[in-house]
Amino acid sequence: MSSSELAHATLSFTNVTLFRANKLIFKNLNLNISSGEICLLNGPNGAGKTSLLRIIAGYLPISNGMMSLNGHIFEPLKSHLPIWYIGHPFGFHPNLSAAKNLSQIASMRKLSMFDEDRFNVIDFFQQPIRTLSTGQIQRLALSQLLLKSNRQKEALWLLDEPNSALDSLHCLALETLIEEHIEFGGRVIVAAHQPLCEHLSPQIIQLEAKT
Amino acid sequence: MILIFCQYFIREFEISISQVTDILSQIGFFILVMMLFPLTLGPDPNKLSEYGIALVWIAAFVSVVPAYDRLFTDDYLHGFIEKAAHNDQPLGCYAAAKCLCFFLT
Repeated sequence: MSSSELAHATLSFTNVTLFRANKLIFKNLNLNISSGEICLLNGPNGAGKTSLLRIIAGYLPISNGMMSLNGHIFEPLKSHLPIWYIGHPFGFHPNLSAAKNLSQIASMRKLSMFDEDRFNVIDFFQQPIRTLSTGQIQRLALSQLLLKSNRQKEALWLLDEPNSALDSLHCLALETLIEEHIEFGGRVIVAAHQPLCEHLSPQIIQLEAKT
Repeated sequence: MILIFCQYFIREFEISISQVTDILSQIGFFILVMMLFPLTLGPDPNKLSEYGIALVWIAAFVSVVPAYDRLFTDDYLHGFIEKAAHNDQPLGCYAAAKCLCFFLT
């Protein structure tokens, strides 16, 4: 699939069902997300929001259903579609500095460091991760989305409770970043308990807790 | 691929040197095992020189066994392996760098 096709491709999930340890998490879930769209996953704890994001990232296999990208079978880890999963665990080693962790991720994905420090991570860039607060680590994780590349525009962002530990200033920075990504033609799927990007009129997927 | 292997290796090396207590505990365990052999075999120099080399190797392997458990577990729990899976390079590159660094340190 060429780069321009990829940029306008629609990602579809048809009748996706997930069982974990013989327990039904969700059944026959349908979701379509195209370029420039945002989707919010709502639901109580244990409803399967994180599991759905991890399926899309390729970390969990589905039990049933189909995932496709413009009609072709979608295999997240083999796809040319750049995917960014930002959720716990963030992939940082506690003994390495924030700068080292971020530059490792950047070099793994052949990206260069960001110009704009929107989440103010430079203040603690040389500190080891173990000395940072939860909010600081979350800001560092979100800074991955600022790493530069030509292919970032069409990227799919999977954000698992991205604003759970952020202060109001950085929540605003996150909302602005998401808005810009959507305007660029990117795709965003967010699981959040707090309201986020409601003004962008996202499509909402309601997941129910199974008893 | 060589570049990414080197980056993985440097990362592993930095993690290893940041966990000095792990290296020291392995060395301590090795010395402890070596000290036990003369006590159990007796102080006969001929016997010790006959078995010595083999016993050093056995002690060296035994002393690293407790670290095997954490070889990939830490990176799995911290989510690093998931990040590496989204890399264009094969995961074998990461595993090879990790094993080489583990062997050298």
